[in-house]
Amino acid sequence: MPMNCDEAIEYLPWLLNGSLEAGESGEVRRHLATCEHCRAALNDTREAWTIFSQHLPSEALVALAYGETPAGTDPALAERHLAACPECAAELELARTSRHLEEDGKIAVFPGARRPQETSETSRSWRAAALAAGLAGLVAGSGWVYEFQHSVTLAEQLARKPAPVQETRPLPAPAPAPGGGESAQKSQIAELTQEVAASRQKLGQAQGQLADLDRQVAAIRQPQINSWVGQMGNDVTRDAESKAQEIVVPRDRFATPLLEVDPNGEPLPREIEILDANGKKVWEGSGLRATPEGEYRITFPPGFFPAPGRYKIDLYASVNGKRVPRESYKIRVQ
Amino acid sequence: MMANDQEVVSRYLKGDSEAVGTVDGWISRAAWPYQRRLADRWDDVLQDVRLEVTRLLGSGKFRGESSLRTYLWRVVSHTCLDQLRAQSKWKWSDLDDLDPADEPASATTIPSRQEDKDLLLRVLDRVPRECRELWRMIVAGLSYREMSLRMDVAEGTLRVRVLRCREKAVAARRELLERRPGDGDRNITVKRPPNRAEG
Repeated sequence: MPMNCDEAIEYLPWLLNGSLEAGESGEVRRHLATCEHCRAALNDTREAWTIFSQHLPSEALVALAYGETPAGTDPALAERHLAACPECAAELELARTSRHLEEDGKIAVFPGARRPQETSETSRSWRAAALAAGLAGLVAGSGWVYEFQHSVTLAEQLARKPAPVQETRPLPAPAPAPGGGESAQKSQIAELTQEVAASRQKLGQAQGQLADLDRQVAAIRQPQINSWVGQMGNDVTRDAESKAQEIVVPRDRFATPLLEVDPNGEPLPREIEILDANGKKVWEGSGLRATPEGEYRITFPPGFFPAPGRYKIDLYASVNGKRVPRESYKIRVQ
Repeated sequence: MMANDQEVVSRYLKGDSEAVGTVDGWISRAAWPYQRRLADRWDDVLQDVRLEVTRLLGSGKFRGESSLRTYLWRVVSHTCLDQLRAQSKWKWSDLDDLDPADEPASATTIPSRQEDKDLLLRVLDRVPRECRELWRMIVAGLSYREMSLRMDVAEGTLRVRVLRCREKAVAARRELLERRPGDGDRNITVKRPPNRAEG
């Protein structure tokens, strides 16, 4: 039975985000092609998408991190938005941490990360863990507040230069601190300890929010199987010449290689394994189904492949409870 | 402007290695908190920041209203935040074949001016929190099955909730647009919400 308006309209948000299965997507699209009313609803859905994608402008976040009122944004509105939007709240904490580092030159930071030489999942995990530990260590180790005597900057050198034309007057000798230098030091230590505790709390919150975001990002960075491809645009790569040739897949944007189904194979869902040139498994999934056009469709998000190079997509079918190798495709990621 | 800052800028623009090292140190320090989120794009973003800083300083944009170091912090934060947002933005699927040429599908959806963005933030502010959560998942690319599992709600119920949220958001925008003075002659088309009984 063809899809009616009520059903079609309910599916529109997921038609837009590309997560409908091929059959569902085809039905909605066929309905939309003939129904002006539902196309108007599609426009409303896009409008809602735009509304729900709103975030505070980055200028507003920078101003807030600096302790200013953001220009052009109602402060109360910004505050409410921050309370409800974990993305903006996490970004504001990043800007505040950056500001804190800018203000206090005595806080040591670890050397900046270099572009990774290895790009395996293991090394990525290791690096992420090391950075997280580094961040925690930065705050936990309040003793890491030390002078940058080894890195005397140009500004400091300039600051030490005598002012060229200023008339100098003898300054009064500084009054000795009551109680001697020890109490002043103690008070400074207490102040620093308080600052560190406050920073630790803020960073703890920011790390929690970042971890949530990272989990969400990780979920959407996985390949999408049975994806729908409306237009044969740049995101689609096809082996036009021969099945034996490699399919070229761009690494820096969404790519949906169209994998031809073996016409002699059984029409069962396939399990997928993606292997790198060394035969190491990069990813696995299941439930891949052939489209009516005789293709398998998998969409790879940007950056999914750990490095450019050659990979293999192996498909398996479960026949009488046994896992049997079926189609295999060579791809070259660049 | 501090005389020191002027001198740093001047020497930086002449390529003095010490000045370049100092400015670069400030840039790296300000950008440090963003490096985990920027991951392997960190070096590229740092390079973008350096280019932007050189452009701004070379065109005399730094007027000494704050210290050079604070000015650089603003440039770094801006650039890094914009890059973070660019990498996580999820664009909706292209459905050009369903949008006739004489019916601009996105005329109502792309805010081009700051006041439009502000209006959309106000619209969002009026929408229930549950709706924002639901749509955040959609914008993040989750399927309704994944959302149903995550929220432990039947798929049909979930789809209807999402539809109600969409109707609330569109209605809130229309209401705010009608209230806003000076919009009568602006070319913003807001379509009627779908009347499901007509379907």
